[in-house]
Amino acid sequence: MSHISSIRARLILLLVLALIFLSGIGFGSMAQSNALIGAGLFLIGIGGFAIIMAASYLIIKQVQSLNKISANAHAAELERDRLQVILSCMGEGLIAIDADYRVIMCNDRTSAFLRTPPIETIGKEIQEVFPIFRAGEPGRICTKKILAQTIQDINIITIKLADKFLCKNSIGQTFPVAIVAETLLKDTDIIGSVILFRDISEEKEVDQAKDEFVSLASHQLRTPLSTINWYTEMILEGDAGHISKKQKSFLHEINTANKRMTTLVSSLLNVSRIELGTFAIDPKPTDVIVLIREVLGMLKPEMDKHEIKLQEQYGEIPIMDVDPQLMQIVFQNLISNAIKYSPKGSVVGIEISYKKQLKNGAKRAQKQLVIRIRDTGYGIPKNQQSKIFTKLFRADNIKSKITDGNGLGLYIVKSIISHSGGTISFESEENKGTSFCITLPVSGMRQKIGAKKLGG
Amino acid sequence: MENKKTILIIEDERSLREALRDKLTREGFSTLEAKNGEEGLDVALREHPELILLDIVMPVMDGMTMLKQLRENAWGKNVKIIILTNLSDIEKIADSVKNEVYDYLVKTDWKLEDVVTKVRERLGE
Repeated sequence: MSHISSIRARLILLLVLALIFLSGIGFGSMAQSNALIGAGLFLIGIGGFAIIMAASYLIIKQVQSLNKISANAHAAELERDRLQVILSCMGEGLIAIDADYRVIMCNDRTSAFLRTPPIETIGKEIQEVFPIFRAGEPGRICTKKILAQTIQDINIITIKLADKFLCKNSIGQTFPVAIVAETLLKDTDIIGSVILFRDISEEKEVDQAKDEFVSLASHQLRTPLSTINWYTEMILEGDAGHISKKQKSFLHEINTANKRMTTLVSSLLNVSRIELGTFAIDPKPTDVIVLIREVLGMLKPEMDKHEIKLQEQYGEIPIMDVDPQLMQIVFQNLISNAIKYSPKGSVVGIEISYKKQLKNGAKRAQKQLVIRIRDTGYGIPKNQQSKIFTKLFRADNIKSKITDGNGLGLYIVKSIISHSGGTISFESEENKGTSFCITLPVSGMRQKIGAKKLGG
Repeated sequence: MENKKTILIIEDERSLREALRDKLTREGFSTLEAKNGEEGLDVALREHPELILLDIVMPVMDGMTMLKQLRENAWGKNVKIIILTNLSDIEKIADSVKNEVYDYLVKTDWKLEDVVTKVRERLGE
């Protein structure tokens, strides 16, 4: 509106000026008088002056309005620059590709990571400028394969440190890479994908330092523990000569403390692996009954010491795909708890069956492996039952009775079972006993690729 | 006394090696010792012991490398071996030894008495 009204004002001004000019000429020639001609010329002068003024006014106006347009363009440019600056200040490389896997945009950081100028990147196939592959498979560039998941479907994919992907830049250097890629949508159409990536060399170093620490802890801490274990045993056996009753009881104390330390070291390592999510589940065809009998064999000395009456009940169990090492940790923890947290002469019952059980939410009952481990021990107080799978938790009623627990066992058991697709539940009553129930689907444990194994 | 069976103990940790040596000698075995895989391989191929107790993590040459080289030898192919481990070595064993079943024992968990029992078992005594 303001634009239109200013045009009208200029037209009116022009008309007025033209009238003044014409009337000056008219008056001068009609009167034929010098004075009038003089006056007319004077008017012409004024008219000419006014015309020049008007023209320059219009020109100025025009220039001003032209300036205004360029100012607008300038603002837009500023905005674009600001966006560019933000994009280039990002710690991550950002690449946008179209549905044909060609690069349509990338930020400065991308060029820095990939060592390619932006001009050379635009329009190229993503696989060519951003080749990624799994560690140990340098020949298998899989950028396109991975991004296809975001182009064929609306999807977000995340590649983390633990996935061990590497990227090779244009000068042949490789660096560990973390990636998030997301489908690029226009309305509801997939028009490409946006990739955010960064160099995670530093994280990898930290991870390696942690690995080294874990390996140091497991090797360097265990070696002296073994030494203490074997030498106390030899003295106790009288291999170094006769020992007194008192000496014997002292040595037993050393031995017990040493065993406790050994268990603690293993548990701590397992916990650190669970928390990092790096542990592997590697199911193999396994006879679960043979496995549990092995564990019972290992725990025989403990059971004898506590005068435990063992009741075993095994149904017909097919060979199942479970990770024997992990299952051993589970059995070992649950059975040794049952022994440890029961008064002398208690009963520990083990039942393994293979039956249909209605799973929560499932319409049809599915066959499952069901393992029950029950005791007639101290039980878990009702008000603390919700916490028993919490790391470092120990129930009040046994804290003072049995001091050598570390509160890690059930946390490890729970993590293993839930990571492998099984369930764990329990019923407990104080001073009556506890019964744990583990179920595993007929397909066995779910495989989980991970860097490390847990060790019992 | 000539029919004493010979056991080679390959273990880098002196205290553990000596504990094993003392116990096994006491139990009537004749023992040989080596501090690392390289030395162990030498002794094994020269002395042909009846059984080898083999540690995994060792300097110079680790147990798995030694085992691979030993298995390439005509005599070494069939010699009885019990692997001594720290728990953390188990994954290394699983990675390197495929299709072969070994006895292994975890040093921190096993009593020397159990080691002796296992040795006797393997020797078929």
